[in-house]
Amino acid sequence: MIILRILGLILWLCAVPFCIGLIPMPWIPKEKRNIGVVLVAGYLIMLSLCWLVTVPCILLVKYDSFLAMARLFTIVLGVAVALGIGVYVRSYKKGNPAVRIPALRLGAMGWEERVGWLIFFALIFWQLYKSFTLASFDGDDAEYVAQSLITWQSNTMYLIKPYTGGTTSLDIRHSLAILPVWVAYIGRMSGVHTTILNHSVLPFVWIPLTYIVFYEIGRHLQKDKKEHLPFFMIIMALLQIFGNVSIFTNETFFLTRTWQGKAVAASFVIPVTIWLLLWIFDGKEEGENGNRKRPGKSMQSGQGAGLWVLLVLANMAAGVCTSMVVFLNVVLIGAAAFWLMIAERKFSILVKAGLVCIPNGIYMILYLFLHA
Amino acid sequence: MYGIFMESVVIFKNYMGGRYLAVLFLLALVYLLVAEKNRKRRALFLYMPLSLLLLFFFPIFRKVFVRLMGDGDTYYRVLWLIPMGIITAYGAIKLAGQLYEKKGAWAGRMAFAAAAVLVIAGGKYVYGSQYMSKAENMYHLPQHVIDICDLIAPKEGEPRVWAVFPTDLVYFVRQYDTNIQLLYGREMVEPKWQYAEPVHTIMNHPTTIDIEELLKLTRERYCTYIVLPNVKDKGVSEAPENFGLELIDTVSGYPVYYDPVAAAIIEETFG
Repeated sequence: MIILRILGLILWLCAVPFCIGLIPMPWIPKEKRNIGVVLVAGYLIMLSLCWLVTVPCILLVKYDSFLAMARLFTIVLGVAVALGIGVYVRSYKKGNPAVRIPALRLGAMGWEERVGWLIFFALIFWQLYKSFTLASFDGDDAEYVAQSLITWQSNTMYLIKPYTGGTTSLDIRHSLAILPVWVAYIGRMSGVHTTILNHSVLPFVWIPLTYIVFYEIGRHLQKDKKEHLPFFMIIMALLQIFGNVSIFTNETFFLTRTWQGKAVAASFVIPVTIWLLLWIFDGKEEGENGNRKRPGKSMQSGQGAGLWVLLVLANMAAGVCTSMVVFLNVVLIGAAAFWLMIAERKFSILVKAGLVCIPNGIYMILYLFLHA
Repeated sequence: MYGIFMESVVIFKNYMGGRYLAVLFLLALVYLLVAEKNRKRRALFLYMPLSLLLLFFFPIFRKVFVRLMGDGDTYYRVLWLIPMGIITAYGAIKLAGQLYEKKGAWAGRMAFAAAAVLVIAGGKYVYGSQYMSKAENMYHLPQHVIDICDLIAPKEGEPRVWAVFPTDLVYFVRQYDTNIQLLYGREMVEPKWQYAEPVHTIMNHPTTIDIEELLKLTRERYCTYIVLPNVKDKGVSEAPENFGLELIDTVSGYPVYYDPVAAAIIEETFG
């Protein structure tokens, strides 16, 4: 039974998002495609699809809305997985593989680099070990974690008060941030209690995913000095472990409330947004003195389109996690676009940034409409 | 406006917790201001964070935020948008790399080691937090809560039950089993929310629980299970057995009672 559940978790938390993540890869620059990027893309797509399926079910299905959501979402995921596999096969046949398996260049590494990576992986292991062996008390779990369990046990969504169990009219405030429903879905499909999922399993998803994002940011920033990358990653890991300077920091949320939507938004979605902005706008070749050169080959051939799509998906994933970050991500993208527009002297950047934020606008209108 | 600005200053100070990780971030910003030549990176890692920081202190932005979110307590989350960690790490590694190339390997190594030590010394170890404790099970819930829930949870196909739990346990019960419903939950026990609930008022009495008063209220609300606070912490006005309660078990000091009178009321009312 336990083995079956573990296999179920591997299927729903690794294999399914990986296959789905293959879909946008042909539209992403070749040199950027790797297993980590595919997995992150897969989660962005899966969470966005989950929102598109769940919210109509919450608003339109009166009885057993979670059952309806689970059935519909399974079909949608099945189609997405098939599409991902299809994209992979097609791109492989065309000689433009959707994912690149990076060669382990251990031989080319100096001893410092090797030691650096060793220390970094030890720090990651420490965080995963602690997330499994330590329990973190947070009062919000009484709402957040219970919400997943209610959904799982009652087959309803946001109709039961999580603190007491009394029935209520639809809980509008939380019903658009549907990460607890996604957790309930994974629980239903894998047969694992949602509280075990939240507290003991999901840190093994969100912590590595966040470090994949940090790795990609570091890899981009250190692309001319790859040997410095492990040291960047060590500082990043130390900042997470020692970032508990108050209960408010995103680092504290990352390692003490890893499973909660706000923590996922702060530690995963916002860094993903920064990473994609970096990839999109810093993708062009530039001289050390800042002179602009021609765009890179991959960007010229239109392979950057997938990055914009991922940015849209990151905005949608923000809405899955917490309503607030939907608004905050607009502020972030707006501020970045403003300064990049000045740096590149292109007004079109602001227009594109505005288009990317359309899902946020729709979400906020829906939020205000439901609250009215 | 000045008052709102000063509130934002306090929020910022509380966010930084009086440690000097913020100073490291500002030093990294200053270093990148001098050393970063790539205009797009300057836009993303200098001008964008600085403008977001200014926005954070700008009173009108705070007003808009509170209006939209309906909540000023979470304003600190605007600071999540500033990639402090990435900027700190990038600044540190850029400096170490430059020293490595210009002054030699040992200078670079020393700079990196210094950055790592400063992060450790200037930060606070997350696993040393007062909110962390050794996990007792895969649920990461106190084992005695699970044991109590297993005692009172309805069997497969049986209707949900109502229960009363002591304040320190209400957070966990419904994370384990939502078939156990509570007369009051977390919303009543958080002092900052200042809600009042009569059963909670009786259970939360500092020294003694008035059993007669308690049962009057719990029976009105069809509550069949009563978990009293740990016997070490609080007494009761009279033996609960005198009012017809049956002690099922005492789990880690918490007496767990079944109320057959309430069960009979349910039977009479609902059949």
